[in-house]
Amino acid sequence: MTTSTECTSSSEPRRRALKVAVAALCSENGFTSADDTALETLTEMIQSFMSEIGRGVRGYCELAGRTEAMVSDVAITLINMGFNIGGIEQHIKRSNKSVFIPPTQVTAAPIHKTLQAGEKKTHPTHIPEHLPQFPDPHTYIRTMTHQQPMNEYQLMREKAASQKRDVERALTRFIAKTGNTQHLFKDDTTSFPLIAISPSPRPYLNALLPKDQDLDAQEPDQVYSSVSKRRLESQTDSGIQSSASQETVDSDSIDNPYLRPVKLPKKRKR
Amino acid sequence: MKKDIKADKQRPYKLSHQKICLTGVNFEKRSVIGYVDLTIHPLRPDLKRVKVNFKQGCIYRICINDQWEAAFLYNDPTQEICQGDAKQRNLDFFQNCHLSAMNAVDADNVNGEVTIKMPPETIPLIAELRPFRICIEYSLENPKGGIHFVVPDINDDMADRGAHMFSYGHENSSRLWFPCIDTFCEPCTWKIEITCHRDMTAVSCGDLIEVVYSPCLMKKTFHYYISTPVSAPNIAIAVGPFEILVDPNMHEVTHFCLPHLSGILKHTTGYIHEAFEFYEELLSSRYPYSYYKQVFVDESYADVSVYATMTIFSTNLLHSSRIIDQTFHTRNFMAQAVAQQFFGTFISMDGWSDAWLPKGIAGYLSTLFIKRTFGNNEFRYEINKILKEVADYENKVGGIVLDPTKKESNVHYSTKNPHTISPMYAEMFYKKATLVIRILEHRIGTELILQALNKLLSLAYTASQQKFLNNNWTNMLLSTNSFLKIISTVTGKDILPFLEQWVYQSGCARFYGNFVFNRKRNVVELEIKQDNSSKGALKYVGPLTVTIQELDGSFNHTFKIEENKTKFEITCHSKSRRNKKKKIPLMTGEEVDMDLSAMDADSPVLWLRLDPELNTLRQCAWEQPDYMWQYQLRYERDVVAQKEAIEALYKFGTPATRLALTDTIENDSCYYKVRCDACLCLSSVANSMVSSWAGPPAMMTIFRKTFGSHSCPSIIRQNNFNNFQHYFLLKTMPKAMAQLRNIHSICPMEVMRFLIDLFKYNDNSKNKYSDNYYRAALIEALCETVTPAVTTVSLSGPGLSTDYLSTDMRLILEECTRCLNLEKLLPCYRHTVTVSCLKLIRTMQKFGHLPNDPDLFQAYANYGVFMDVRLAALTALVDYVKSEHSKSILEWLLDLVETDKDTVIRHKVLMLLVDNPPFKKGDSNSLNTMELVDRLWILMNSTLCCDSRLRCGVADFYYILYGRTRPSCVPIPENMMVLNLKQKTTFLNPAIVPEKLQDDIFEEELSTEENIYRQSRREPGEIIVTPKRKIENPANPKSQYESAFLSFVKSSTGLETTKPESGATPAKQIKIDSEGKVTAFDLMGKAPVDLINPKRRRKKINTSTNININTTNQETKRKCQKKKVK
Repeated sequence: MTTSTECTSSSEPRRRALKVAVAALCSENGFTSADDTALETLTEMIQSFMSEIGRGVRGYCELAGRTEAMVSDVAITLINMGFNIGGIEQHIKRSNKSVFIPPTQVTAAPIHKTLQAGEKKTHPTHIPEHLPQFPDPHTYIRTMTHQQPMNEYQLMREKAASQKRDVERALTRFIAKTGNTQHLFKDDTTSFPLIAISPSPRPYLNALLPKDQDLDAQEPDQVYSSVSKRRLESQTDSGIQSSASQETVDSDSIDNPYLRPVKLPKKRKR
Repeated sequence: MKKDIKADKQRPYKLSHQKICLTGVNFEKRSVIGYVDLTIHPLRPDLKRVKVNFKQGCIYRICINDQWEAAFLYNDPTQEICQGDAKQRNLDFFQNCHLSAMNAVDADNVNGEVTIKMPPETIPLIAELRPFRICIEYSLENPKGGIHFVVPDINDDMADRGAHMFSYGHENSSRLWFPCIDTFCEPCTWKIEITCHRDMTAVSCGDLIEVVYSPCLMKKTFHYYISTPVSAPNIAIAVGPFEILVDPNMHEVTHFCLPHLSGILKHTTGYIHEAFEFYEELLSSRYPYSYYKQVFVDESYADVSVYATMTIFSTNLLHSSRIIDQTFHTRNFMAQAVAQQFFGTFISMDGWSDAWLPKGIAGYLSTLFIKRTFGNNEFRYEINKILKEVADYENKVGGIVLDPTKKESNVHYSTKNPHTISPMYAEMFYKKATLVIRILEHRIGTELILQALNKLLSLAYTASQQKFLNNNWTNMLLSTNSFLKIISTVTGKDILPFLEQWVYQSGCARFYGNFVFNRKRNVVELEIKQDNSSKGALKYVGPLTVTIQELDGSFNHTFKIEENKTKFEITCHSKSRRNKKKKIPLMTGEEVDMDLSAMDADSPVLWLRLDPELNTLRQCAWEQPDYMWQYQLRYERDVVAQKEAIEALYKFGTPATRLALTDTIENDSCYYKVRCDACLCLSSVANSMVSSWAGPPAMMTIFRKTFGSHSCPSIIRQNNFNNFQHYFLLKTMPKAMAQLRNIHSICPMEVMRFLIDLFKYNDNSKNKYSDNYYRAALIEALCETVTPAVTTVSLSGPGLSTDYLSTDMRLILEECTRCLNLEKLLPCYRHTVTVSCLKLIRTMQKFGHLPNDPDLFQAYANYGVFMDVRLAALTALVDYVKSEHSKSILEWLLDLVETDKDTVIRHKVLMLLVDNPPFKKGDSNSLNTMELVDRLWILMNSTLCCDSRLRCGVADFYYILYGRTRPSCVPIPENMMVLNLKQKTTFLNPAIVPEKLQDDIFEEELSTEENIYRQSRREPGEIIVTPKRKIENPANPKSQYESAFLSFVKSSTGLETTKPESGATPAKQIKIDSEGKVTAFDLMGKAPVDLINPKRRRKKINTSTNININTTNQETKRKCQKKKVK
C-alpha cells in the first residue's frame, strides 16, 4: 500500500525481482504471455502478501522476546493466515523449476564532489554497509574552515571600512526611501537623496548629547539621574521636608542656599 | 523735556536701594508682572521731577511712599528715531537723530523715558531732604527685547518642556524689563523677589535668602538680597526648570543647566574653581561677592553675559569629556566671565567713555589666565591675533577711540553712546581695550599694575561695606580720571601721555620698512616709515624696539620714533667670522647649530624684527630677504616671529622655503598652531612652484609618516587623539593638501584619492575622544578641492543634471550625501558635520557643479534647527542672494531679522549680510530698489527699537549698501538748499549731495594706502604717493542760488547718463521752472517710486514732488509712542 506508492528508485530492484518471480510462476503454470498491467497487479498482490507475512513474523518473534525471527515464526504466521505449510515442500520439489539470473549489481550514483563538504564519517561496525551514509559532518558536527582567517592588517582595515560603509549606506538609503527627502537636483529625485531636516522643539539636546559615539557609559545614568530627580520633586506633595532632605544628603557638609529646604508659608501672612 | 545736558549733569537725587518683585512669570502668555520700589534720596530741596528708565511695558500705577499716587509722563523718542522727517533717507541724518534720541533717554544725562511728577504732598519731605520710596507697578507682555522666553513647542507642562526665560540686553538695557535708573554709575543695594511655578528655579543676582512656598504650595518665591551696591544694568534673572549642581570644589559656586544636561554640566564646570583661585591669587584680593552662579540657557543673547554674581551662558558651550575643540573656547569664556565679576560688575564703569577700563582690565586678566592655563605660546599667539584683527578693522572701517569724549568720530555710527555703535565695533573695542591695558602693563610693569588693580579692588571693597551716604560708593566706579590718579599714587608714574596716545586717539601705527647691511661700517641701516594716509592710522611717536639676531647673538635696540626721522642704524657686534664653526646663541640663551650656507657671506645678520614684544598697536610690513625669513622660522623661538615668517614666506615659492616649512611641520617641539599655519603656507608655496615640483604632493609623505599605520602607511591609523598636537595637525593637513592644484589648476588626482581614503578608513571605535571635528574638517577639505566646473551647457538648456558631474564631483557628492544623511540618524556634537556639508553643497553650487537652489538651505535655516546649522545655512543663503540677486530670499532673510524667535540668529543674519552684502554702494543691482531702502529704514527707525544691537546692525548693513548719504535709488528731494537758521547760512541739502564726494574719497585713500602697502613689501624704493585729494566741502555756502543749483543739476545728470549700466537708477532729467522749483522727469519709464503723479504731471508740473513723497512716507510711517496714564 504505502510501499507501492513510496517505491522509488531505491526499491526498484526489489520490485523488479518480484516481478521476475511472478513472471516465472506464470510461465511455470503454462502462460506464455502476460499483460504488463496483469503482471503489475500480481506483483502488487504478492508484495502485499509478503508484507503481511513479515508483519506477522515480527509480531511472533517479538512476542517470544526475540529480535531476530526464526523459521518457526514464519511457520506460525503462515498457519495463522490459514495456509497449509506442507504445500511448501511440494512446491519446492516441483520439476519445472525455473532458474533466475541474479540481478546485476547497480553501482551507487557517485555524489557530486562539489556538494560534499568534508570527509564523511564511515559506519561503525554494528551498522551494515548498505545503510545510508552519514551526512556531511558540517551539518551536524562543526563547520570546518579550511582557509586561514585573514589577519593581514591592510585587508582587515579594508574589510572593516567597507563593511561599516555598507551598513551606513544601506541604513541611510532605507531611511531616505521611507521618509521625506530633499534633492540636490530638482528634476532628478532619485540620485543623491538627502533625508529632510525636521525642526525639533529642543534642538540643543541632540546637538549636545551626541549619539554618534558609543556613549553607553555616560548616557543612561545621566538620563536616569534627571528623571529620578524630577520624579522626586513631583512626588513631594506632602512630604516636602523629607524630599528636600533626601535630595541633599550631603547638604550638611555643603552650605549652599540652593540645597536648603523650601520653607512653608507662614500662616500669619495670609 | 530735554534738559540742558551741560548745565545739569548732576542727578538731583540718589538711589540707595531698589526692590524688584516679580509676582507672576507666565510662560504661556510670555508675560511678567510685578512692581519695583526705588528708595530715593533727594539732594535738592526743590526736587520736582524724577526720571526713570523704562521701555515697552505697561505702567499701572506709580505711588510715593505707598500713599500718594504720582502723575507721570512717558516719552520715548527712541521708538522712532527720525520722527516726521521720513523724507530723508540718509544715514548721517539718521545717526544724528539716533544719538540725540539715545541721549534724550540716557540716565547718564539725567534723562529717562518716564518722568514722574512729585505730588504736592511730598514737598515737605523733599524740603527736609528725607528719603522717599517710589513704587511702580508694571507688566510686560510679549516683550520684544530685554527678556527672552524659550518655550519649546511640545504638549507637556512647562517644566517638562524645558521652558525657561532670562533677561538680556546690550550694555545698559535693564530698562527693557524693569523700571530703573539704567546707568552703571548709580549703584545701590537690591532686594529681588521672584515667584514662579514650583518646578522652576529662579536665579538672580545676590544671595538667596530663602525660598518660600505659596499658600497653595503650587508656587515658590525666591528671595534674593544684594548687600554690595550694584548698578541696574548688572541685574539679571533666569527662570526655568534648571538642574542644580553645586560646585564640588567651591561650595559657593552653583551651576544651572536645562534638564537632561547635568552630566555634561558637571564636566564643563569642573574647571572653574581654578579660575577663581588664579584671579584671587593674582590680584591678591578675594572674590568680592559671596556667591557665584552660572546659568546655561538656550537661545542666549550672547555666548556670555555677565551680571553681578551671576553669568548667563549659552547652553551650547556645554560639552562632554569626549570633545576637544570646544573645551578651549568654553574655559576661556568662563574664565572671562569670572574676570568680569571683578572688573565690570563689582567695579563698573562710570560712564560710557570709561567703558574701556573695566572691559580692558577684565580682558587683560583673562588673557593672563590663558597664559597660565594654555601656556605662553597660546597667549602670545592669541595677542598677536587680536592685534591683527584690531589693526585690520581700523584699517577697513576706521579708528577706535577708547575714550570718545574728546574726539569726534568720522564713521557712520556715533561712538558716544553704547546704543549707537556698530556691533562689530563693540567687539573690536573690547579687544583693543584689552591690548591697551596689556601695553600699559609693559609701560609700568606687571607688578605695579597688579598693585594698582589690587588697590582699586580694596578701595571698592571698603566702599561696598559702607552704608549709604552721599558719594560713599563712588570708589566702586572706575573712570579714566580715577584710574589716572590711582596709577600715579600707586606707581608714581604719570600715564597721561600714554592715555593721550592710545586712549584719546584712535588708530594703529602702520610701520613699513627695510634694512641693508653696510659692510664697510659694519652697521645695519634701517629705514622705518609710517603710513599715515590710510584709515585708522595713527602717527606714532615714541620708543620702538628692534631685535636683531646676529651670528654672535640676539640684541635689542630701542629707537625713538620721531616726526620725520626714518633712518636708523645698528652697529653690529659680530665681524663676519663665519668660517669658525661655532654655535649661535639665541635670545633665549640656547645655542644652536645652523647651516649658514644660505645667507649672505658678508653679513652677520640672520634676521631682524620690529617690536617683538607687541608693545605698540601696530601693523608691520617688514622687508627681509627670503633666507632671513627661513632662518627666523626655523630658529626664532617666539611663536609670533614664527607666524610672521610664515606670513612672509607665502611670497617666496622656492625649494628652500619648502624645506623650511616641511621641517617646521615635522618639528614636534614647535607650537602646534604654527605647524598648522606652516601647512597652509606650504600648500600655497607648492602651488606657486607647481611646474617645478618634484615628488609626491606636498605633505603627503609627512602625513603618511605621522598618521599612517605601521604596516601600511597609505592607510591611516585608527583614531587616537591623545596627542592634541597631532590631532590639530591631523585636522589641518588634509585641508591644506586639498588646496593644492596641478598645472591645470585643479586638485591633483592623488590628493583626491587620498582624501576619499581618509573618509573610508576613518575608524573612531577605539578613541577616547569624539572625531566630529575631524570629520567636519575632512568635509571642509573636500570643499577646498572644488574648482569651477567646465560647463558646456548653455544656460537656456534644461539646466544641470547628474549627467554633467565629473567623477570626482560624484565621489564628493556621494560622500557628502552619506555624511549628511548619517547625521540625521546619529548626530554628532554641535552637528559640525552637517555644518561642513552645507558649506560644501553651497561651494559646489557656486562653482557650477550643482544647480543653484536655496530650498535646501531654507529648510535648514528654519527655527527649530540647531543654531550652528542654521548659521551655516544662512551663510549659504546670504551668498545665494549675492550671486543670484534673489529678491525673495533677501526678503525672507530680512523677515528673519525682524521676527525670528532666536535673537542671536537675528543678529547673526545681519552680520552675515554685512560681511557678504548683496551689492555695495554704487553697484547697479536689481535688488537696489526703493522698497529695500524703505524696509531697512523702517527696521532701524522704528521696528527694532528694543534691541540696539540689531538696530545698529541694520544701520551697518544700510551703510554697506548705500553709504552715508542718500541712496542712489531714492529720488532727489525738492529742497535743494537748506537754510540753517542758527548760523544764518544756506547750503546744499546734504541729502542730495552727490555720493561721490565723501565716501569715494575714503575709498581712493584706501586704495592709495593699499598701493603703498603692497609696494612697500616689494619695491621699497619706488613708492608712489598719489596726491591726497581735497575734500570739496559739501556745505560750501553759495550766495547765488541758481548758479550753484544749475551746476549741480548739470553734474548730476551728466553723472547719470555716463553710467548707463546703473539699471536700477532711473535716469532723471531735472528742470527748473521760472519759480525755481524742481521737477524730475522719469526718462526710463519705470521709476521705483513714482515721483510725479501722472495726472498731476499733465496738469501742473511744478507742485508734484513734495506732495507725493509725503504721501508715500506717510504710509510707511508708524507712530509707536505709547503714553499710558492711569
